[in-house]
Formats: sequence, C-alpha cells, structure tokens
Amino acid sequence: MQKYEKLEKIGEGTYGTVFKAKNKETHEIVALKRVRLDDDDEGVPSSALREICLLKELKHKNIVRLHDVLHSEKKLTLVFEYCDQDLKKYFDSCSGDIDPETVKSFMYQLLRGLAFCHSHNVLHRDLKPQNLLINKNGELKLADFGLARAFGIPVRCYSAEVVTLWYRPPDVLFGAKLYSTSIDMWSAGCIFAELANAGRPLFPGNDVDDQLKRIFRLLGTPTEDTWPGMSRLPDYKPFPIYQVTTSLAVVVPKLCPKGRDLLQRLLVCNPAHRLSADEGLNHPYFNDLSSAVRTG
Amino acid sequence: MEVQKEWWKTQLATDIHETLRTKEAELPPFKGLSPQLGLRRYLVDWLSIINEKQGVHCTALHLAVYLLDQFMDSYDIQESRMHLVALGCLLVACKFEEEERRVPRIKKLNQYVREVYSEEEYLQMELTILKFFQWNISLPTPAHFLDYYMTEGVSQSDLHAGYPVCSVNKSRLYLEKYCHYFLEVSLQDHCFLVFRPSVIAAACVAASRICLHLSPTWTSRLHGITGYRWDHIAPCIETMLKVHEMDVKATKTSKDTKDNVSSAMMYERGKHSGYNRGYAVCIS
Repeated sequence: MQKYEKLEKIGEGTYGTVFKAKNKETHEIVALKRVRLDDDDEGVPSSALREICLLKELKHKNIVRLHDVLHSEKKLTLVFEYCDQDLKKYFDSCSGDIDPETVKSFMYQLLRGLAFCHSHNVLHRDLKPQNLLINKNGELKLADFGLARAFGIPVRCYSAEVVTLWYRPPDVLFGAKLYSTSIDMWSAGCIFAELANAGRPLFPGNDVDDQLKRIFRLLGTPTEDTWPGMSRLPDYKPFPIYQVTTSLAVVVPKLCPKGRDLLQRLLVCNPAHRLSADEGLNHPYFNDLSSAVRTG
Repeated sequence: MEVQKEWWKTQLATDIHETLRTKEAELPPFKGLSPQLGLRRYLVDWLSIINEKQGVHCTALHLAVYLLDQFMDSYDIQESRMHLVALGCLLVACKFEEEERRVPRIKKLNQYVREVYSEEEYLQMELTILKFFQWNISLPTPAHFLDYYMTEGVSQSDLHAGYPVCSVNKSRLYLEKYCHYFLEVSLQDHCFLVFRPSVIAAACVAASRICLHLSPTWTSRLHGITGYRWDHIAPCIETMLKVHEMDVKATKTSKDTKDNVSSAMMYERGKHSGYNRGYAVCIS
C-alpha cells in the first residue's frame, strides 16, 4: 500500500470507499477502491469479485481501466484509472446547458462502451449518470461494474434487484427475470434524454408504481398487441390506458429530430423491440459525428 | 415491427458465441500432472452432490471443476487439504456465476467436511485461488455452450429409427435429458479434458442423437451453429459413448432392472455412482 499516496476521498462505490491517490514513483493519479474483508466473514464480496474478473478482460477506451488488484489480509484495493468527474457532477457543473455536439459525443461513447460489453457477454445492469465517468479530454467511461454479470446464451435468470429505479426498464419493473442486453439499452435511453436536458432526469419516480406511471404517461400504456406476454410477467398489474399526448419534441426540445428518433427507439417498453447498442451506433443521428470522437 | 426475436437467432447470440470460442482457444492445456489425480473423480462426484444440495446451476459446478483441475495441475496438495481446495473452487465459482442468494455460506460448506477447517482457512484459500488465476475466472465450460447448441438439437426433418419424428417437442425433452447426462459424464472423467469445451458440448448433442436413434446424426444446422463438422467431434463422441456403454452395463449388472433403462435413470446413476471416500457420508 506504500506505492500510493492517498489524496482525498472521492465517494462510495457499491461495496467500498473510493480515494484519489498518487503513485509515488510514477506520480500517476489513480482511483483506489477499498474493499474491507474483515467485517464480512464470507470473504471477497461477490460484487467485487465479479467487477474485478469482468473488468480484467474489458479493455476498451470507453470502459474504466482496472490497473491492478492489491491485497493485504484485511483488505482488497482496486487500482483504477482516474477520471475527473462523473456525469452527475458534470451536470451540476454545467448549469443547465450542454451543447449538442457534447451530447452526441457522450451518447456515442456510451453506446460504444456498451456495445463492447455486450459483445463480450457482459451486462452492466446499473447504468446511471453516477456510473459514467468523464475525464478532462471529454472521454466517457463506463464504471462501477459491481452489479455486472457475464451472461451466457441464453441469458439466465438473475435477481430483479438491479438498476436504480429511475433507469429501470418496464419489463424489469414488472418483475421480468429473463432479461438481456435490452436492460442496459433502456437505461442508455434515459441517460440520453437526461443529457439532452442537461441533467434533468427523464423518469424520476418515487416507487415502482410511480415509475411505471411516468413511463406510460409519456410513451403510452403498452398492450398485449404491442408487447405480447407483458401481462404474464410476475409483478404485472394493469395500469390506466394512457395515450401518447406529448411529443418527444416537447420532452427534449433541444434534441434534433434524428436524435429524437434514436431516443424513441431506445425507449421501447417491449424489450424485444428495443434497439441494440450496435444498432444505436449506426443510427443516422451519428452521421455527422466528429471524426475525432468516432476514432478517438 | 418485427416479431419477438428468438434469442438464439439474434446477432448478439452469435457474437457471444464467438467471444466464448475465442476465450476457450486461450485456455491453458490440461497436463494431467497432479499427483492427486487419482482423487479427482471422487472430488468431482462429491462437488456434484453438494452442488445439487445447494441448488446451484450447473455452469457454476463446471467452472468449479475447471478451476480445481487447473489448480491441481500446478500444485502438489496434501490430501488433507483437498476438500478445502475443492470447496474453495466451488465458492469462487458460485460467487461469479450464481445469484447472490444462491452463493453457499462458508459455514454451510464447512458442514460438508464436519467443520475440520477454520473460516480463516476458507478466506485464505479463496484469495489463493483468485491470485493463482490472476482473477481471470470468467471462463467458458461445456455447460456454457450446451443450451445454445441444443436449440438446433431436433428439427422437423429428423428421422426417428427411419420414420418422421412424431413430436418434435417430446424429442427435444428427451434430447435435453440425454445431453445433460452426457454433460455430467464429461465432467467426471479427466480424459475429456483434452477436448475444448465447445467440442464436448457439441459431442453431447451428437451422442444424444445417436442414443435416441435420430438421423442424420449430425445435421447441417448443427454444423452451422457449432461450426464443427462430424470429424471434428467424432473422437469426443466415441469417448462419450464408451463411458455410456460402461454405465449401462454397470446398471444392468448391479441392479435387477427392467429391460428398459430409462434416460432419467442413467442420469441419476451417472451422478451418484457409489463412491464413498472421505466425507461422502456427511451429506444427509
């Protein structure tokens, strides 16, 4: 542990405290995530174990890099690349305005990171602004894989207790157990709208019911026709039939029509019809993306 | 809008399959150098039973046995520590593969060995295993491929003993049972470790089709989904059928069974053939 000098506490992750620190030899700034092992007699928490295993193989410019894992008897220290802030703090700092180019760049990088995860059979399962890191070069990186899963073909059932409420898709809200990459795509859609509105969450629900109502009020209540099998989901209950009355142009006024089309294709209640990360990257919205971002 | 996608036909399924195949190509070869190799069969059976008691998915068991094989291959382990190593592998595999609530508690695992180890020893063993693998335990096993390959296991145009299949759904059910039986078989004997996990999974499907008298044994669709031609997997199938034959003989001689040995029975037999060494008695 002598290799690093702790500078300041950055925050709390899923299972441990995160510090900003400096490598004493190279002066490189890193983020240290501490996992205490002593107060848990079950050894390495499975969330930490999965995060380490998965990040070890997810080496991509849009995924936070895990440099090293150090262990002493009573604790485990994960050494990550350092990023200046997360998207949530970025929202706070830009006081209500993000230019359309930045929105497009962040969204592209988010989808590119996700496409990489998904093709390497990893689901993130907890996408939200706090888990997207932004460095000073405007690069966006997926972080906090504490709830992530390697999935097989087919994707097996895992607990429904994933994804912070505001970013949770309707199928999971209805208790769906067999979900796939579509779970991350819904969250990506919510984040896209939040980016376009410079940090105003799209569906800030108070509980599961309120969350679903907010979603259906905007997108219209799905039916067995638009979403076959919906009523057989474990926690399904009927909701009032809302018709679509508000156009997305009102919801995300600053987003261009192509951007709205992409958003519309991500925010689909029926998970089978939700766009995939790969399809998202090829959407016309990104046709005029700066080549620096595309190749960056 | 397109209709509900069948998961195995999506581009994503193809991508994942490709990733798993790339990963398996990088797996280190099994050298069979462990001085404790003679204990392997017993330990695998023992872990299978614990796994079943704990209600853990078979991907976790297969991963645990893979970890155990690699670990044993590199260390000379005292016999008194073998159970600790095996349980450590199971613990790590469950933490990776399983739902949080299904991960067995250390106290529970320790009951299977009459609490001879301290909790401290489990924690140390866990870290030793993770360090040994450098935390790279996201690895494909035959169990990771089988479900995918089974989707093409039976088709409308198959012949059963020369006649069209009456019920594809029924045939599928039988095929799944046989496939899981062969999957167990492949876990038990270390002679299967020379084959890649995907080859074993493909051979499970082929061997099952042979046992069910489905023809042709290897269809173009199975070739398509697995990427394997018959000659790629033939040696593995042969080994499987040999073990299967021995199993059937053993069942016939040990029990005064009816003429028909049902697949379910063979499956059970494969699982709990009478090894009784060490802590087998502890499981009640």
